[in-house]
Amino acid sequence: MAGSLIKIAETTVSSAVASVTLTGIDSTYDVYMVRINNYVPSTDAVNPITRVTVSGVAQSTANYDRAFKVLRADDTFQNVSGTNRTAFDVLTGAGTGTGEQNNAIIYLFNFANASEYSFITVENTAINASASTRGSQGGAVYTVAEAHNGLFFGFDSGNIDSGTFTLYGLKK
Amino acid sequence: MSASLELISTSTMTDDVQTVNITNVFSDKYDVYMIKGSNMLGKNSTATGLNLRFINASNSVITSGYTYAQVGLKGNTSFSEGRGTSEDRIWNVFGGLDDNGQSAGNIAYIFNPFSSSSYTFTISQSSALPSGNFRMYKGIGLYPQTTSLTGFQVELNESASRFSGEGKVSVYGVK
Repeated sequence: MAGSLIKIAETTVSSAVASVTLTGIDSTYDVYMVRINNYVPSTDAVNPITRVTVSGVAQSTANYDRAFKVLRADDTFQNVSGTNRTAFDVLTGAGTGTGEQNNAIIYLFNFANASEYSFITVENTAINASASTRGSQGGAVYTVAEAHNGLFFGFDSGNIDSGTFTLYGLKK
Repeated sequence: MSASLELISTSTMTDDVQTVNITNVFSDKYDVYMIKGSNMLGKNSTATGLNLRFINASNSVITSGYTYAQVGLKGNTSFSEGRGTSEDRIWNVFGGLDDNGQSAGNIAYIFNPFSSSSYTFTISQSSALPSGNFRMYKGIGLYPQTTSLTGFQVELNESASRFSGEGKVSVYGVK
């Protein structure tokens, strides 16, 4: 029997690029999953930026709300929240030191539904720019009722040095 | 269109042992793996963590050098924070158990275990009822070495604890 996690798009960055956009979300599936592996910036101490796309264009209006807990291996945990931001901002701050990278599993809900907001859940494991182990557990929403066909990944400064970004559909 | 979650192995927990090794499941075929634990039961009343240790290419269990952070969501008391940067295991990846008759389950993702150039990262969430108290653990883990890992051990950290034979652990490659 065929499986039910269907790969739709994948980009592997092996030489630096400004951003990666995964597209292919439509009404075929209700729920999508994104796998992020070995996500590393070219510039030290920068923040990953994640945005929804409309027809492949990243949306940067101030309509992103987020809430998550940051698990920290060497310090007390943090509750992070915010509204009306310009990106999801749910991954760990990134660096270029040894072993520093982001990995994550993100589920996407309602992205293709033009009459509802687009929601995500996030599980993230990373080493940040200070060589500390961090991970975010939570979610976010883009509060614009429109159809979104993908996700944009980049940093608030500099390029993506490496990473594999994969979009899957969960069969109905 | 081909499927992207491929079953690699399913192992049944051996009855009356403290550890079960699951070997030769990580390879260069996948970068990311999903581990599913189900029906994990204990054989006696000693409540214990149900933890993960990696196994290297020499089939040796790695018993030190782990980093982890975990929030414990508890049905009967305040939530807890667990953390450490020099641990002997990644705690509660599979949950916790004793012989209360209610089995534990979990889903975990492992990133880069076979790579000899990247560290190995984990994400896990588990749900269980040790000592009759609901526990859910959401955690992250790290083995900060560029060692090629080929498997893992499911471990009960309490020396008096033992598996009952019903539990199953499946490993999938996420293509």
